[in-house]
Amino acid sequence: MIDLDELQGGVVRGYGSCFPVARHIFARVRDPDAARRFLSELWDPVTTAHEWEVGAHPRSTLNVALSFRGLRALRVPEAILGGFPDEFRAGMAARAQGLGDDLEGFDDDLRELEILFVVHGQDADALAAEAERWERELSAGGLELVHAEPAGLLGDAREHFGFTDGFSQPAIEGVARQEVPGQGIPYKRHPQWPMSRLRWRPIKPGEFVLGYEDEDGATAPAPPPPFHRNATFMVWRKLHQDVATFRAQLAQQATRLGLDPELLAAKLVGRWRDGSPLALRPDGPDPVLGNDKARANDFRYGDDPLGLRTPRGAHVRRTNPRDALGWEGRLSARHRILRRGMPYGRPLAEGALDDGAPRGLLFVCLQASIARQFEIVQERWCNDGNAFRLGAERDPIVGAAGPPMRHMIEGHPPQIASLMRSCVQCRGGEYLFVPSIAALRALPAL
Amino acid sequence: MSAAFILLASLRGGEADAARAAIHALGKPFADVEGTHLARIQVLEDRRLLVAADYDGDLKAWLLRAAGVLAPVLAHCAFWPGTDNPAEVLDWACDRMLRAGFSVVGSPDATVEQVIAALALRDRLARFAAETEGLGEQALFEAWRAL
Repeated sequence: MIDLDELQGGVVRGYGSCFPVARHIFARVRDPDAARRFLSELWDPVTTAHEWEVGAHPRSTLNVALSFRGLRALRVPEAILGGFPDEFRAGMAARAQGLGDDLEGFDDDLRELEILFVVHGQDADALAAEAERWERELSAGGLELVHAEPAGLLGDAREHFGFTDGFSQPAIEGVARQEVPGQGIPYKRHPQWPMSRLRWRPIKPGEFVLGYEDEDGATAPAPPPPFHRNATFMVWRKLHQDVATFRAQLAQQATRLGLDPELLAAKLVGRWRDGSPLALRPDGPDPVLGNDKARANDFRYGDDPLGLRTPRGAHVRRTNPRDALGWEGRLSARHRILRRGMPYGRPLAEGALDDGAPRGLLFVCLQASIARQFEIVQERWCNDGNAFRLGAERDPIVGAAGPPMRHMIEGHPPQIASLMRSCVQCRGGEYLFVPSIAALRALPAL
Repeated sequence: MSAAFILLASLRGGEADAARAAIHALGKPFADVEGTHLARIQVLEDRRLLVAADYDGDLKAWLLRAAGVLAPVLAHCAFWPGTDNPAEVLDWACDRMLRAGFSVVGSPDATVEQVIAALALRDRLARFAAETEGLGEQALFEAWRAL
């Protein structure tokens, strides 16, 4: 069982719609000794994964994460720093080529990030009170405020392109209370019997939390104590969404191919805008199903190997291929991520021209290994199509920018959408480490 | 009127033993905090410091008196601002105060001063009774007047 009092909150369970607004605050170390002391004093204010009684939610939450640059600025000893994984030590900017990021497009404030404070609020007032309190405390704590990024849920759990988001989250052993169809790993209790019911078992906690057994029966490589347990790695990316271009491309390609624009949109994403999956509703959206989070995720791709219902290159099929790669899903089980992002910016009105306003997704994902989990998903599955026998075809939503993108819509005959521009650009971010409560407390003594 | 005060503050990582040592070094700290009926100070599970007291009158005034005496212990608490700025001390304490769920106060209607005065009076009366035992009516009357 995961020690929920030692693990930070928002990891194995998201804060959900109870906390619809957030502020992501980046700070830089000015005085290492004062900063280590300040961060260690946060062990109590920081929200843990401890489960709240019904109705006993706090008004706001606080969590903290550190980049490798941040740990080094805090003067954590080299003997400990050397034990962190290579990709974390290198940082996200050094991995830009594989991730398909254009560093020129990064916001100046979102480069060389050191320490992230994430505050969630039940409402705007609670958020402002808590976030401003910590922003005030920073300078006395040897830190300097670099950037604060507000975020907030849009209506109906949608993201800016208009799709309901957040369906597929890995179910974690010891955390998930019941079998959640589609959230874990598919298996059959009696595989030799054709009629044996398909079940889903939760994923081992070590895939997401350091110090616990993972799907390989081992524990993921972890840095030395005190960072070795009840911790996780975070990928933080500000993903700008060019909504006007997305809509224009969709309309233009739908006309060219003679398709209903909503069907084309669903073929790009793999779900209708209401969240109902093409795998279960190939002919049209089903809002009732879209509202039923359990049923809307209860499907596999093994029965659609050619992608006739859900194109092999559709966004949700690439990012969580389930059993599309064969072997009953075992090949994709080690590449799952916990997504904890939240949209930022105001929605663009339907039919409006681009207003140049910032909007997109503060993408946050958590995992035990950034290289094995997030980077495989982004680099091999989104920025390349080889794993799905699609050549160099990229993900139509989050694939790397580059030459015009084609998107195969399998059928009789197949059709090929051509997307001239990527509508999602990374504007900055970093690989971060989310330490345990014990590690925070131990910081001054390192 | 007396009232209950409870403060639960988190200790800095690794400073629980130092906090315990500071408590022992204080001796009888609350003897010097005017208006204190009863008090407890305790390190809990190596992680938190509990201060519980029944006090008289204005909370802020009592709190500042107590903070001055307890400063060597409170210095091991997270975000303790030091005693130089009373407003910061009050903010710090207010953020960490707990509402008493149920509190029994020994003398809810009397201040510490009144309780001490009442005890002194009882002593005088007891002494008077012992010293005047067997006196005649006139001598007893004169002794009473002289009390």
